Amino acid sequence: MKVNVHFDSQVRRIAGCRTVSLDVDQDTSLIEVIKRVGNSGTVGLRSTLMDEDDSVRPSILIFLNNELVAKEQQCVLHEGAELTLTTLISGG
Amino acid sequence: MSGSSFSSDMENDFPTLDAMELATYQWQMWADGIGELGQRKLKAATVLISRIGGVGGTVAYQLAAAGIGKLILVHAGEIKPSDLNRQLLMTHDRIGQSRVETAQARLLALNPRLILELHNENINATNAHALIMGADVVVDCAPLFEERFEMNRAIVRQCKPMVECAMYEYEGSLTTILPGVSPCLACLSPVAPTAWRREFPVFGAVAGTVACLAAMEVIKLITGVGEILSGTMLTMDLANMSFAKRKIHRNPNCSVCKGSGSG
Ligand SMILES: [Zn+2]
Repeated sequence: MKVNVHFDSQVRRIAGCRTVSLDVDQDTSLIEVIKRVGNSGTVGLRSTLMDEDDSVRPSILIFLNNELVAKEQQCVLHEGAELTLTTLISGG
Repeated sequence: MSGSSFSSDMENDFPTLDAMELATYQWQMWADGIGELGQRKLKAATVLISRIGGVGGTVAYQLAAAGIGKLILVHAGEIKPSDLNRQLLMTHDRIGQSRVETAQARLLALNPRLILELHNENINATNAHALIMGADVVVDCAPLFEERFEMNRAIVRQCKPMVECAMYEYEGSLTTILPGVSPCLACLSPVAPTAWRREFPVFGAVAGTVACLAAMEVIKLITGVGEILSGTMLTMDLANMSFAKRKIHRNPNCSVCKGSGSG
């Protein structure tokens, strides 16, 4: 199934693109998709998204279909899911 | 006006308007839900703005124009040339001079009735609580996460609403924190993003767009009109003019707001 992953803010700058589309198996988990994005992206993207323990960093905001998802939430994605990976921003 | 009196409709709670104020605010008092009482609520209110740069300076200017009674402006330092692409309260002829004093002159030129309290310092762990004590509403426009997290702790402790607004490059984000009701800043991210840098790409028009939206959140909080962005983050990308309203949730284990309010 197809899943779109969008990058906002500094995560976009590090990813070097706005969106990637992934083909993943049915019922792939959210965390699996984020790991796959990190592993297949630019050098800095994985360390921006994941910490040394292979967990999503606490500062990464995950929106699934425009709703914030808690990192510890076990979440399975469905066809056409729109995922956004970003952080808080602080420009004032 | 205390923070709990926003919803009061007791007319005696709010100062009356003089002839000049009635003339100045006539057109906005025609807006649905405002009227003379709404304008008096604005006159009664005190708003603290942390940093009056590209975002906060325009928030201050819009609130001064709208007839807010008192602004507490918190921003250290003197004007630099690199401020002038976005910090619209600052002027070229005052490079090297105090930001808050320059802002004072510009705001009073627009609205001489405005009461100003100036602080030539930035928010920190020592001053946050006392500064916020004097405000009904807080607007967070600081460029450093340490300042934003200090403000967040203080408003949760004092149960004051805070309009949380920020920008980066062509993007902006905005939400209104109602402690105990909607997610606080630490609910969203307990730590600063590793990638954040003190100096960031910025156009004044992006900062100003976020600022005008933030000023409307303040006006709505004080007058009670419309719907505020509580539990919702408005994000915008002016590179392609896309806007989204995203649902955000409190973290039940938040180190700052856990145990406060209903959630
Ligand atoms: Zn919280």
